[in-house]
Amino acid sequence: MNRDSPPSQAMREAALLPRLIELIDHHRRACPAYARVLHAIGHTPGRRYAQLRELPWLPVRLFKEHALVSSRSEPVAELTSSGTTGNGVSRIALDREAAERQRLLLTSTLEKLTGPRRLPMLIVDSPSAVREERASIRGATVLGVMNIGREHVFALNSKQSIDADAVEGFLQRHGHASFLVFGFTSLVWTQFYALAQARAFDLSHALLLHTGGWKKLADKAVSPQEFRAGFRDATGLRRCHNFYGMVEQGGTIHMESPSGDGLYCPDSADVIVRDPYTWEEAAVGTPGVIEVLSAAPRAHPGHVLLTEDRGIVHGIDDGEWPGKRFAVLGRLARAEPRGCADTLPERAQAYSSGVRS
Amino acid sequence: MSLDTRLRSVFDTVLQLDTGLPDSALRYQQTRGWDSLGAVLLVSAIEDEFHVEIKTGQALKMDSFEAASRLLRELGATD
Repeated sequence: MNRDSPPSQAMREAALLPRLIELIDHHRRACPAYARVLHAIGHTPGRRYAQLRELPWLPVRLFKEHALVSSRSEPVAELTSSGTTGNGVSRIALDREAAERQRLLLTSTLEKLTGPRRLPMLIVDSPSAVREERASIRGATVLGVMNIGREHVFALNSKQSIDADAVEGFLQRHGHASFLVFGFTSLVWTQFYALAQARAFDLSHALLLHTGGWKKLADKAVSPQEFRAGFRDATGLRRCHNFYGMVEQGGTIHMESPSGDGLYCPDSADVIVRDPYTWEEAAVGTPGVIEVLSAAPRAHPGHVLLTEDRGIVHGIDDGEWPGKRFAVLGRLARAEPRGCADTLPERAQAYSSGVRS
Repeated sequence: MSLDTRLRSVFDTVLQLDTGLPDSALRYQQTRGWDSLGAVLLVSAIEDEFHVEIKTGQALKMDSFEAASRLLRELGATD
């Protein structure tokens, strides 16, 4: 991502492949359950891999049904996914090293956009998100992003309603120079944008970072393009970045480019979109199921995961930043592959209804 | 009051520390309260107390009392 990234997708893949192969061996040794999955699907020790797409993936749902751990260290935290789909939550135990690695990775990716200075930050969430929900991906994300900010102000009260006085006070103090706004996409739109539009805030110095909450926003029929245009036209806000990530790969976030031409992977990660009928890599421009690969997870085998999200790769090395540019299209309608990865190809139909129209 | 005394006072207040703990025992993720939230609060409080600006990379490396004290001196804070 951006000027420090590998100059091409081929170089990214060449750099990532040996790191992920090493991680497969590490998790095979450290996590007996993962080793059994690999054995069951024929990925025995010593197998050679020439492409990222050949690496064995786990369905992310496994983390909702099993405790998969590759660390013998005492966990310092257990993070949970939001579980908004009602299908249970993932529980990811983090040891001290993993927690710190996630913090550094997240901050490093964000810092490439915001620069080394910690800017004043308006958080479109309530203080309870970091004080009482710190074990959730929501709280952990807010807390992680807070590292790149200073003089934090929470824009929502404990009832999750906008605190107009707090927002106006923040803008009076900091609105004349660069500042950050961060929140979950649906809250940013329904709470913050509504107020900003009504009161004609000048947000021309803002850098808006937002993530998650796509489902609630889709329910309101607001597209990413409308989201950007709405802020630009009503407030003058032009620097706006969505990002995509998940608790099973904490710290790894895929950032939207300045123009919004797609999401891009950080240096230590990649995505593959797979055809849900064949599980082969889908062609550019063809929707499928998103697989995420990250060299970060060492405390649990979350390095190669088949998500429950639909997505599409729009192009490779043809956009604002090098690498794949992709979009998340939504959650799979029926995403309940049970058991281990070896059964997945036979269960392709479980995914297909949500992917193909 | 010395820089380290003022700094320790900030630590004690933000992290609600037992004042009997020696400075050398204060470490990120090992000292009670000095977790990810404590770290964010601590950096802000140190900035307020010493009127310095701590950059993101510097904040992330501030993982002990000693490191915080050293950073403050690098930023020009004096006794």
